[in-house]
Amino acid sequence: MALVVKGIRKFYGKLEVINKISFKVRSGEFICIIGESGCGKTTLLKIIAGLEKPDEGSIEFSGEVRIGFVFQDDRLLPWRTAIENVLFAAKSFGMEDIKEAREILKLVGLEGFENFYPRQLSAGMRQRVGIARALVINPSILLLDEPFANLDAQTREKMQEEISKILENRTVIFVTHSIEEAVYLADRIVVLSPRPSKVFRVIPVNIGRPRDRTSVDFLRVKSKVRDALYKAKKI
Amino acid sequence: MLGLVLFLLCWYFISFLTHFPYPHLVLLRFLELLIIPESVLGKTLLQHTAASLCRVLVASAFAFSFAIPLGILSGWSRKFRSLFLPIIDSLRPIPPLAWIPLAYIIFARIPNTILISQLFIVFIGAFFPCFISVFDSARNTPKEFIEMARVFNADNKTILLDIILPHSLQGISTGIRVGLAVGWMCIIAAEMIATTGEGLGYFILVMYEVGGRVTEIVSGIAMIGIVGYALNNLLLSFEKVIIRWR
Repeated sequence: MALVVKGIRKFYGKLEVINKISFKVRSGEFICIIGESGCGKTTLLKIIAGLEKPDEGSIEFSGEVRIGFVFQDDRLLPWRTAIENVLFAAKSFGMEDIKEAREILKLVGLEGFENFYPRQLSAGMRQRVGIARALVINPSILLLDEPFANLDAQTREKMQEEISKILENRTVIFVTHSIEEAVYLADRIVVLSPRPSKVFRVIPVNIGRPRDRTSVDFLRVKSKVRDALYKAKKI
Repeated sequence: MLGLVLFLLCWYFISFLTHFPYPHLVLLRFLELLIIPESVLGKTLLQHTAASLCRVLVASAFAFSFAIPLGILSGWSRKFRSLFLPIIDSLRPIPPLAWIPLAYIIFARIPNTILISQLFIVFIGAFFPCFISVFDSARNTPKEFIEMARVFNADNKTILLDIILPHSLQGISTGIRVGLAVGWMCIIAAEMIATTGEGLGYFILVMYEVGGRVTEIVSGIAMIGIVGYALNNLLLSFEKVIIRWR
């Protein structure tokens, strides 16, 4: 087990955002968290990352913890080039290695763009830099907060295909509100109910990779998730 | 270009109606004053300009070396802000020129009273706009960047130097430009009140006192404008080099 989320509850003032969320993440597992907007998905990720404290419950990690985070808005520093942004993350971990940073940028498909400033890159490319920045520290757990939400549909699919390869065998928690994205990427999908959120259902996706979005299995899981989301709203 | 032509036409028109010197006469006298020492003070216009400019540059540099770190710290730390900002806010509304008489008294007992007072006034004039500009941009550093840095284990020093400081560069640049412009105005005024025997403000005042030599006065004023314009543009092109990621 890489991490256990235990009975997390969170208030913002009087507003209860998270009622009770518990689930386990195995080592090397790709978890997608899905739920409608405003249900506290981002808050949950921030709690796991240690950026916010839960009012109840705890996060338990096993072994060394090193968290890589990919933000919905890329949060690249505009005054740093792609490679400098990657190195920024590596710095505090004492891993400032230009060769390694180059290697990671190549892995996410940005070879030749190392010295471009964020404004010179497309939204998709900026998000690739964001992924490289999270990967360069060799994270034990990777948290992604709707990283593709701001991309156009085609770029989005392409990024999903690539990330599914790049993040193979990594421990990942990926927040999304796209059902198809969750089914394409996840080993297991955690469906949250609306605010104050609970874990409504955990749906395993037992489909081999690379996944075919039009296969019967794929569509069946997709409708299962849709069904769960629909029912989650009603309770 | 059209604006300049229109301006000159108006000037000619006014000169035609009044005793105000014609533009071409001012230009000739201006060029003459640049290199040939003027008879009353025995110095060229360039020497006067250099004297004023040196004072402004020294005093402003001094002001900026306080205003920039203080602005960044105030923008970054709430504690520092609550300690420091009330002092700044109560002194800031006082026009720098109001300090002139006081400054001459404060520094009366030390050598070079006049020079020190002038530097002090420019310091006051340059400090506040620079501080405010830097403070503003440091404080407006997106908290998302700071959160990102925290996620990646950055310590306070890294956040200050790698996030707040670069984000504040625009504010620093604007602060330096505005600070220098205000300092430049202050030195002219300060030189008109007491003098070390040179300086643009002093030159203009003396030209007035020896009998309203309008052509010389206008030459002096033109020089003030030219230097102000040049400083501003120099700094703007410098800014483009420094902030090259935009």
